[in-house]
Amino acid sequence: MKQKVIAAFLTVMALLGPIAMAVDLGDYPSFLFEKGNLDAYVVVGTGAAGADAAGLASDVAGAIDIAVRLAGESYTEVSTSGGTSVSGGESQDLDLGDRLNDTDNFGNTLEDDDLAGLQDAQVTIDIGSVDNDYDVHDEVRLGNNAGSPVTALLAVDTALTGAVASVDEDWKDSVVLASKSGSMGYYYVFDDTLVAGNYLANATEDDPITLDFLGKTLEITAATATSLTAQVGDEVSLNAGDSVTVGSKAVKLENVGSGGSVLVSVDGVTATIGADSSKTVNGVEVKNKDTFYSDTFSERQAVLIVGVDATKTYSDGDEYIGQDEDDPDWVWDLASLNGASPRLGILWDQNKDDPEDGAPMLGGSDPCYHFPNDFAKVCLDKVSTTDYQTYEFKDSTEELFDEGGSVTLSSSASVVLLKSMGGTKDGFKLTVGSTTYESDQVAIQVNNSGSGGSGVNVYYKDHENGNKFKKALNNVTSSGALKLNYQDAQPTLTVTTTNLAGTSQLKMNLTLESDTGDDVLFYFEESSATSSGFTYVGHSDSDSTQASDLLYGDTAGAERDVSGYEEDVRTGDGVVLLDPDSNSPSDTYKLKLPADFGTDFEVTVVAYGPGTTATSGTGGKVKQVVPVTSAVAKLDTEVPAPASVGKDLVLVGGPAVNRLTAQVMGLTFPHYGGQGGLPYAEGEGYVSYHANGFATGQDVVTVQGWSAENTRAAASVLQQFASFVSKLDGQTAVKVTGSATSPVVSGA
Amino acid sequence: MKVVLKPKKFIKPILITVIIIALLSGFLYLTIKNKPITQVKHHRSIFTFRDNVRDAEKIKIVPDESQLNKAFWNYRMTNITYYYAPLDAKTNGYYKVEIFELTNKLTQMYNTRRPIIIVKNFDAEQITSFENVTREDEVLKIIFVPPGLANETYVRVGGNRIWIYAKNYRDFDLAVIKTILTAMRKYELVT
Repeated sequence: MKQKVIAAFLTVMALLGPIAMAVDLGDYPSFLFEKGNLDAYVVVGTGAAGADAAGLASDVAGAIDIAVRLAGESYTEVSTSGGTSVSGGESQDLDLGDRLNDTDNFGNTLEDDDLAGLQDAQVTIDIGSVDNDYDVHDEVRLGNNAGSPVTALLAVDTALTGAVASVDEDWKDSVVLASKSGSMGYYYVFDDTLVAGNYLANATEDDPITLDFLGKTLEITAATATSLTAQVGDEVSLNAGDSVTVGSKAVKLENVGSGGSVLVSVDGVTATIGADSSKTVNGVEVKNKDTFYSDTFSERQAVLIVGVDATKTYSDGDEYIGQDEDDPDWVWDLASLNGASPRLGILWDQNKDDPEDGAPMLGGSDPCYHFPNDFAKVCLDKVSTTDYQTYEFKDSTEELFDEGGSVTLSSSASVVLLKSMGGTKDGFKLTVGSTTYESDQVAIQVNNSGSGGSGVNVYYKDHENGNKFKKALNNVTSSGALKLNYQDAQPTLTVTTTNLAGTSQLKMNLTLESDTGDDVLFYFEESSATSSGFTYVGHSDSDSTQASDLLYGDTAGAERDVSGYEEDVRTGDGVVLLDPDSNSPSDTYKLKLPADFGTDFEVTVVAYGPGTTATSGTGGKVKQVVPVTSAVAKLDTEVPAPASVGKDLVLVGGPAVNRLTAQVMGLTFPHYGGQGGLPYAEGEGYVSYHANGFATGQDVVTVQGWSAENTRAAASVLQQFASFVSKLDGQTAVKVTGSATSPVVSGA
Repeated sequence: MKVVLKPKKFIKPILITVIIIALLSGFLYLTIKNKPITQVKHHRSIFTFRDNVRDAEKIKIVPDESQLNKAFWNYRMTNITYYYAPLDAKTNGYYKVEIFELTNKLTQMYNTRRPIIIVKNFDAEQITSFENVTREDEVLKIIFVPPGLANETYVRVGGNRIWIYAKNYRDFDLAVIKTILTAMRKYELVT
């Protein structure tokens, strides 16, 4: 009996299986993939109707749509930790005080796989009889780069972090990208060893070496070990009659001679330039690098190097082309140019580590370091939060109650009042045993004040029960029970008390415990051994100068005294200490706690290459390359036996133009709309899915339309299929109306 | 019984065996060497082409491959536009096939730089004359000169334009493959 039940169950499942596993247009294009590989032919029609220009245009547009989409499907999406999504650049989230070159940040070197537009190419050096090809690539190097002069550091700093920037209140609460001379560089790297005779120092005016350097063409005509003579310009390929704009001037290739000379004009001033020669024409240096002569005027072409900078000799350490001679941002880094492994690059030559240096700041007018020629840049982009909660710590007189709130312990106790300003009533969390109290106010009272107390009592304001300060901790000398609380930030505010040396006068530190930065210590004391409690903040009341009241540091005795700072300053955890100098006389410490604290307070830094396009926008996924095989296009005449090709098929074009479309629809080729029998009408496009199209297991999709526009609209549905999943889901055929830019899908 | 080994008795069969092995090896070598290759590996992706990559590699590039490669990797170029003159149904069919091949393979090639995202927009325009396709700074223009209009096969590059000349339809495929291979520059044949 049991066996019969199992058998019946399996039979039902076998019958239901194909239904449950049924494929439809909602699954496009996944059914075209076999183990991640695209296993399909895209078949276009060659029928007589294909000679129609409008129909051809739509089929071509459809082919482009499908080609782009299927190529885009060759990648899998993988989750990332989020942050800024950058097209063609690299984005990293750094902690305050982090160095850019750390391995978990950018590392020391950025190449073409990191920044779009950096080259990974081959260059030919042909000097005399020595002619070789060499693999080369661009590198943007960041700080502490072993084996390179890029040894200094580049870091995200604040007024207090001091990784690269000086510790200085004049930074205020800024986030700054501080740099030292030698902390960034660009290098043109030969992957191969140069053979003797092809050294850069072998270059001559007759046999120059032409390199793509920093996105420009660098033509070296002479070099020593540490200097080179070169001209920099843009390499442009022009056909006779073509123009290109250099600076503000139009350079036109008027003609190409059969002997290799060119006739060019610059803003109307013409000149003939011989093969491999240079000439300054109307203020523009033009080098005739290469020509191609044809009897047909329009086919004649030339490769010219054009630029406004004349040929000049530069030595190692000299300003890079176009830089201020006396105070350059970038200088040449040249070494071993007379050898097999030359060093050819530029190096950052400024210290931007003091507030007056003009380092890039977040929110500043220019938060970037720019490489010459706008080739690359490194920029501060954003911080992870701009939400803050303000806190005040000050002396106050409050009525204090016991734990239950029914017994008044003191009607006017002198306490330290901790207060979160505005917002909700949960700016503090106070945990006692298994109970956590939330409140916007906490009061700290000297236990047994005036009588040699050594500990404190901690109260929270209970807004749900009479707004009374209720006791939570009794006579503690050290406690980590209290936390600030704002969104994701919950740093601990440790309470520590002792007696002043030789007295029974109590002193107290409230320590805002650090995560990635340093601790912040707020100092309080009883006014005297016989006083009634806390009546001021710091070491004295109404003092005009502050010392040691507010400290920043992790090492006892080596903290930085920030009591006298006259500016708001930011800690390494993102906390802003508000103007300590002016707040202390009013017996108040003020701070702003960000919604992200410590390592959660992240600064997004973006490195851009020359090919970097749109940036920003939050992402959570990136596409990762997986090995794939690509789709192959076929003419319908090349697939005479579609049942035996062993591939899935995407058929572009209707039964009047595509033989296979007609065949899979059961029509005789060519079949025109006017003959009737089509599942769609005038003004409609059509997408259909045919399971087991020509053979068992062969998936076939057709894309067609009554007119050219209709076919284009149908193809655009497959191009943007993700936007139409709900309309395609469960369907084996849909009609498409509207346009290619706004297709409308309906059930067939 | 004394067994006498006479060298003459063994030399002939050994020589025959060696010759047969040599002939077979040569045949196998030539077979493998001349075997049509339709796939190449570029970065981590396999690209499958319509015809023999080895034959495509022989297509001439004017003025040189370096110029053609640069045209595809010019970071200032954001758009690739195809230009074609409608002819008969067969040629028009080839336009569609070649445009699909170029678009699909070039997109896949640009995608191999992931997570770097290189986005090029693709477009197509019909023309009646090849004379008026002018140079534009940010547009790479690919102009098809199909069989019937071209009397030799080669690829010409200049002024942000690429002309693909094909004197017959097979050469049309090969010239397009050569263009894609040159854009890739580095690839391995998948044998």
